[in-house]
Amino acid sequence: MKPFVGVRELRTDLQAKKYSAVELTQFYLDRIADLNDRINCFITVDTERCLERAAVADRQLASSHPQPLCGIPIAHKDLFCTAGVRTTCASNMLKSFIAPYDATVVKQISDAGAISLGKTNMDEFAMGSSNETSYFGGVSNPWNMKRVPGGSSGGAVASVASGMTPLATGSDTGGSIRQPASLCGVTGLKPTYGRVSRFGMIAFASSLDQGGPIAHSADDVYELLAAMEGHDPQDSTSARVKETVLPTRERRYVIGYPESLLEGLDERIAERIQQARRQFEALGHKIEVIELPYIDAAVAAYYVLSSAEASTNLARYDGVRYGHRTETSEDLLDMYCRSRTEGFGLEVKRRILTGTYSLSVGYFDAYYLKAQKIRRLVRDGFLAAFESVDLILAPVTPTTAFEIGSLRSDPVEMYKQDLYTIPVSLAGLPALSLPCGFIDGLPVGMQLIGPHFGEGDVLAGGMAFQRETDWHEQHPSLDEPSAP
Amino acid sequence: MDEVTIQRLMTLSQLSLDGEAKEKISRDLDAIIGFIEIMDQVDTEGVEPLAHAVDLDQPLREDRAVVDEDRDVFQSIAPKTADGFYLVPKVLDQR
Repeated sequence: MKPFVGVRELRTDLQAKKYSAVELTQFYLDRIADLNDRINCFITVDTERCLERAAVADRQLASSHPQPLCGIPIAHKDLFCTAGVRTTCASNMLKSFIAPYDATVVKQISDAGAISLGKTNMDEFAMGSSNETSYFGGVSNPWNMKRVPGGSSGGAVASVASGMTPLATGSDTGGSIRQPASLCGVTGLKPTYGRVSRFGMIAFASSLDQGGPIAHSADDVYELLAAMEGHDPQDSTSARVKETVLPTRERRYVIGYPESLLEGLDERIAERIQQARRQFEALGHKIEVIELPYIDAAVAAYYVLSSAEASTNLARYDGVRYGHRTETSEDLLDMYCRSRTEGFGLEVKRRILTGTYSLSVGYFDAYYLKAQKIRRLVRDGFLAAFESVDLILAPVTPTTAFEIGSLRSDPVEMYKQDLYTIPVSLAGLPALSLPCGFIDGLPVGMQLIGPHFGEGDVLAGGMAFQRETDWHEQHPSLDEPSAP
Repeated sequence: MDEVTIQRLMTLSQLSLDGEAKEKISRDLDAIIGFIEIMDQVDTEGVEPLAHAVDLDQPLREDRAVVDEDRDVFQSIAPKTADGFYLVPKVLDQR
């Protein structure tokens, strides 16, 4: 068995009894045991239950109709509720929280036959771009242990990038799947808002949060998306739309190229994006230069809106029904205040206070309402672009993976890491982040952005690119400590 | 950010910070507010605010009675309960 294998090969091998689901699960558990101390991808490994489930999968595999992901291991970001296994959101607030039910996504993926290995590390409450705000410690980038994996789905992408699991779930509010996927050289999709159920996914900013798949290729991302998408009566914002369908024949796309976005970008990254542009042209796609307006203001608007929603969502953590409660308190208000102060880390507090500020009397119009208006302008800018193009090609990150600790003391610089991912989130669009090269041994990614519910074409574009390139097939060497 | 404002935000948020942590977060909030003021450069005259990016209708669920209340299960994860109630410190005589 080998750690970096795609879903189709795993499925074929499992059905051909080349190895059993139990053996495959044990193989990844062993790899987690070998590597997790160094990378810190997993907060919880569900050893016992996953082996039990793998044994059930082996019986299913012997039947004539095994489920599509039968026996294939997966790791869930630790904000998807899992009945019986703790869901911490990488926070002291929820460090012992065991949800009474599975998130819809967890249930769907389990119904599709996949085996959950455990729960992956993340920025606390998904607030961060470096996975440094986790209560359970930071995650290292498998390509260079002194660098961040990105965030907030840092543990999820690093677990795939290091071959501890072939598949992982993540969530993306302002770039939390796409940015770490780019920094770790894996493929990840932020689906259209509403494509994937949010029921049982711990809320950060409800108008932006969206769960999505992370894997080694667009092919595998599609396989996992197929298992996790669909309308959910438990989530009133989940969309009643048809499932993602890939185009039946290869299409030649008109791909929008927001050239002005590349100005000011690290020129080596810009060069990789230009190279990808030439590859798409060579494949017969047409490139059309477009403008995307209000990108700079989008980051500011995002921080206003997401922090406002976070301050509201996180009001529920009061030490009464679940989560951390302080040991000592004088009265009820004191109990709320101490429990929250002890339970939340610094970045979460910063966002709650920012959100409270922008929602408070006297500031609401200047910040919150203004941000919502900018959100409309950003979205309308994309909708106008999609009048003439099928997809948009864009960078994902302004730099490659940065050093652990280098941006930690400067929240605004950290927020600017998400310059290229945030506008897509505000517009609710689907976007695939996929590898397109390396700089000094560190992966570089690009985004393919589509119109609402255009995942089929976004993925087809990514698949076409990955048939011609092998960036997604490069893996870090983890046998010895990485070079400084 | 002045002392009165930061104190008010902490009260509204039910958070308590003091000393170095309070100074740090106060400086950070100043920087963040300075940063978000870039929004002022955008002319939004006549633009309607947008709360959700995707225009979805929200059809109502079928009106069918379901039992999804399982008090014992939900209370089993609470810090303190008694006889089906959540226990909290005294509420009267509070500030």
